[in-house]
Amino acid sequence: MPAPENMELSVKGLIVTGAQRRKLLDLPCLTLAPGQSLGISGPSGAGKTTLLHAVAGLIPVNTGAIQWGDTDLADLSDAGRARFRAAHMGLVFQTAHLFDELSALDNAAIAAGFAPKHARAAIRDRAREHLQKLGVQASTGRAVATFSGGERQRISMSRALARSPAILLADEPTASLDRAAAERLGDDLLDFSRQGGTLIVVSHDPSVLARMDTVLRLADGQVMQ
Amino acid sequence: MAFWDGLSPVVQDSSLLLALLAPIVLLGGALLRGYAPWAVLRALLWRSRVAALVFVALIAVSVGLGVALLAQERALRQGAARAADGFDLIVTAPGSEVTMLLATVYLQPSDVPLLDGAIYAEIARDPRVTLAAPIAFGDSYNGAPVVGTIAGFVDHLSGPLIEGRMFADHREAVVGARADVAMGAELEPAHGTGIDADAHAHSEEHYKVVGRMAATGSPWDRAILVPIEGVWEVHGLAAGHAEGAQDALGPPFEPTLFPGTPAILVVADRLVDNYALRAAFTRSDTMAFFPGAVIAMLNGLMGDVRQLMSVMALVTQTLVMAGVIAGLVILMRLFAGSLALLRAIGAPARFVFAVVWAYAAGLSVIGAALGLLLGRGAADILSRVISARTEVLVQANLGWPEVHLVAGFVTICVFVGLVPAALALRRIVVADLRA
Repeated sequence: MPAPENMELSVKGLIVTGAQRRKLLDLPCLTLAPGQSLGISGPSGAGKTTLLHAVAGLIPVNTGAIQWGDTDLADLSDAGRARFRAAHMGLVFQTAHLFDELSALDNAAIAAGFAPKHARAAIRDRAREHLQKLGVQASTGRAVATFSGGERQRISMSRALARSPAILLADEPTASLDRAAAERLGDDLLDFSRQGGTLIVVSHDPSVLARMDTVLRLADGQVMQ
Repeated sequence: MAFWDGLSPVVQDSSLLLALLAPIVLLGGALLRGYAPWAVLRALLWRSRVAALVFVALIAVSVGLGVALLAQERALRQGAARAADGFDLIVTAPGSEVTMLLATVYLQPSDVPLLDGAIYAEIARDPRVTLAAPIAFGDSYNGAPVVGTIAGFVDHLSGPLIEGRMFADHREAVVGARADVAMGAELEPAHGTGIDADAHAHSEEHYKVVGRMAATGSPWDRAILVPIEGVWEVHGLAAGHAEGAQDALGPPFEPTLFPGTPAILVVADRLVDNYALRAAFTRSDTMAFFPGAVIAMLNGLMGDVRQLMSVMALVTQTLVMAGVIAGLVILMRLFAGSLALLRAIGAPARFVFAVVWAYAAGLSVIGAALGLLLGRGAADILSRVISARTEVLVQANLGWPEVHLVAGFVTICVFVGLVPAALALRRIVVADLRA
């Protein structure tokens, strides 16, 4: 269950440049109310992942402001942005980025390793709870290397949700899944949004995008619609 | 300084060890404080288990070799000194102290001039002397030295016999604890030693083994000790005693009928007498020396070699450490995706830094600990080989110097482990996530 926080996203005059000052993203304005879902689509190289990384604070912003509630990511240091992500965001990537050597529960509760001591047990409990909810057998100590793609993404999702974030950012979460698994993960994402979380999903998948409150289409780093 | 000098050696060594390890504890505490990176560490170690094992093995072998060599060198010195324990003062004809030391204490074959009966009588009569034992070497049996001496020397060297009795006849023998001769055996001495020994020179003469000495940890444990009168007779010489008393055993000897001896062990009750006797018999026709002092001098000359060994051990370990760190830097690329994930989901930079550092530090500590065990084992094997070849009992044990060396090495490794940790933080998170 997402924390009841005022995490409205407000992006203004965002410009991200890459090597040789090439403009990767130019976004004049974007707002997303708490509890809303936003889909980001567009062809490869359109700047979808760059936008997701920017709003996650994973890349420095050259120009503009990215405000989550009262917090402007541009004002934060690397460490500050990491703290913000740890406290408020869950991230799901196209590949699950799991520790194949660990169990599903250890993976889902990986953030307990750097959480304050008093919060570790709660993270582990929530990780177990989300794994069960998402249909992953958490009781087994089996390493996740042999899990299916869909299971791995659901573990990744459980990892993202284990700290009860207010914001969930997902980058092509269904790209490597078959249709059934993609549908199921789409449901899980929407559940998060329905429970009050702010959801941003980068996807090529029309069925995922169709379920978002808003869809932002990018091309060459610009908003198409 | 006075306070430090006032501490017992154990407290000093323990304190030095703690001082050497303290930086690891402080650094580890500072980096890991508030974190529980064990699951991540476990995963990374398992993922790179082959490389990790190779790294640990490299560290263990380099540490083990260094430790074994240092321990062995010290054990060899101690063993050599222990073998000379019973030899307070040796008087020989003038020559090389080292040659006489090797011949007398370590029973290494050597052609040396003899001391005559007058000199022996002068020494034996000296009121400061409690034992003047002639030591006549030169014959052998199956490669074991046959040494002519007196019963007092046997008592002095080994104390009570562990088997049988003291020789009581010119043709009886007492053997060393490890001599490959059975009690009651009759043995025919060969003239000379080694491949030049003439096995049939004394074919008419036999010694009967009647006793066995306690172990001394020296080449004397394989020796066959016979009355010096027997040695003289076997060589067709006078037996050292006056007409009518040819069957007598041991001192006093008749100086004019004393055929000669290569060396005389001199024992005095008081240390000051030993020094006075050394001075008295250091003259144109005799040479007196303390075997312990000659060994100390040799050790002093070998000091540079010892330092060189220490430096070589350190250089080897440093090279291995550099190789391991270079390997770790490369290995970090294998972990880049996982480390990027951690940073993406909000792990503080210190956590990621601590994970990489703990990985490197863990390998160093495990490798060094195994190295200590390996060194202990290697030193033990080397000791057995050297003991078997030199017949000097060498018992290598890991001592504080080795422990300090390893602790210092680990501390350096642990600090060098900061390098891959720092490099891991310089990587670009989004690039590693996409890779």
